[in-house]
Amino acid sequence: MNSGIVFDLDGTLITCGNKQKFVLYSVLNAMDDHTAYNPEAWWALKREGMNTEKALAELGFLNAKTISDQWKMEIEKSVWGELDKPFEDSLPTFKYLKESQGIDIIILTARKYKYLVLQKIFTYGFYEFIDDLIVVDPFRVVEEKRKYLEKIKPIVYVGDTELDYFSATGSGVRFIALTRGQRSRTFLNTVGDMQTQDNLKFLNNINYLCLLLKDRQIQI
Amino acid sequence: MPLDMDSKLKTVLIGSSGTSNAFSSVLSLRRNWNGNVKIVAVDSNPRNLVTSSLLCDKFYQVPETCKPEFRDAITQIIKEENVDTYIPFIDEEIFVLALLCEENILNRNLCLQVKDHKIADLCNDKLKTYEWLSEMNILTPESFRLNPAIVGDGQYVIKRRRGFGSRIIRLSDVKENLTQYSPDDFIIQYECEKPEITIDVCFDQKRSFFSYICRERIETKGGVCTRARLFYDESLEKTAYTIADKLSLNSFCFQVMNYKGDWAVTDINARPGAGTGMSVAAGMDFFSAMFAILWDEDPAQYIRPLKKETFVTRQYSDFIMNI
Repeated sequence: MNSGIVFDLDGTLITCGNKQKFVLYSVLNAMDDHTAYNPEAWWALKREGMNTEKALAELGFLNAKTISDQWKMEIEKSVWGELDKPFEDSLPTFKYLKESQGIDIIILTARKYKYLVLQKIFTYGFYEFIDDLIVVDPFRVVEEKRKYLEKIKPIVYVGDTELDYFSATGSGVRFIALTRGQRSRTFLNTVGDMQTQDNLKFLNNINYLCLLLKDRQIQI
Repeated sequence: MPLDMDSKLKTVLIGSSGTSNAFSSVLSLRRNWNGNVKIVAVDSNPRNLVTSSLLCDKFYQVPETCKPEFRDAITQIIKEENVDTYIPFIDEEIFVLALLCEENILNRNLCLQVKDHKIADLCNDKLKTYEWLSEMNILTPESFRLNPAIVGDGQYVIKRRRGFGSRIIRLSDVKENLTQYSPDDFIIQYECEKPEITIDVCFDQKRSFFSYICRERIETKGGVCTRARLFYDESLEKTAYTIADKLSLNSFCFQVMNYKGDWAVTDINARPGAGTGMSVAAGMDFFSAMFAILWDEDPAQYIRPLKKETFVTRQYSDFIMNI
């Protein structure tokens, strides 16, 4: 047992912006709201740390609260999960880590329903590569994730938000933030001193993996 | 409400957008091509009764496909919206679109799976399907024109020649009163036995890519599969390839049933089926693969072959259409 690598799911292994943008679009269509909709601008504001309502208000939506409330209800529907998909490097990275390096893979994510996550893990083909799937309460993300990270003591935890960062630092686990998810590099850099990467390419590099493992005094 | 778009975008028209396969198509477009595609949806129902419209940029209510006014309405929309890709989901609509293409009313460069009205008609007309399948030496249940004089005592049913999800009428129940059925609209067919299997197929001749999955319809509601078993079968694979190759279909489904102990083809649909979304849940995204083929992209990236027999059930979601 090498303690493996722990991954967050949304924004780390699968896209998260597409679902958020098009759920907003569906809400606006249902509200027949013709305020100029600029999904990229809204998403950029959210990636900079703004919440849904504030980002809408910033873009000129007068009924930002109503839209935001409706959006929060809609985003929970499982059907909208079909708007996101795995990043192109997720499955190949799993394959490399598992088949070439024999490294354990664990997904640690915060969602309301574990069974829905399991469905997606199957659809995306992650299922055959992962050793464990841990789903924690989205309202207690930092404490719950920290607890599991302390227990697992992985080589590294790869996530995409400040909450992931706090969980990792709180448990003494090395953290690497991906900048392709919920938060931008700029925002993450304001949160703390963390290593950031654009994608999972770094995990496909044997030298980098050796360095990570050396830190843990474990040989591949 | 159109998204912020530039002239390089593709414009896709989703026909019969109130159907579940249309909704699955829209989801796949938004998932894989996100804002880089303008989606125009049409349906005979008003917008507030069509779920797909929530994710579309434009919506038009049009006459039903069987009405003559549909031709003019759809032609006008295609021209006004500069539609370059059309995905019809009703067999009659596939036929009308193929005709419009052949008559040069629509641009021949329009991305449309079936541009030959004879192929559209063959798939839409159960008698013609039977004749073609027989010619191709593909097993299909004995079918013939409704003719009281040749009705035997066998296990036969009366079916509409055209359309889908039709109610099955046992010949023995109506034998004395056959005149109520027009021979032009109805056929007699040997009644096959369950199980009924739908085969979803993706075939990209240019890239020599072929994929399929068999979906046993364990339960159906309103003609749509709600509980399914997904699996592979070599004999059905062969049939799927023959149909795809001979009819030049790239994204379609067909049905087989048990006919005297063997699989017989009962229907060919020149489009993804209402239950094709269940294959997507198992990792085989036939909708995205369909768009990829139409746009000369690689469909293989959207199809992850099954590793094991898989069961899929379907539950409905509720949407408020006017908040």
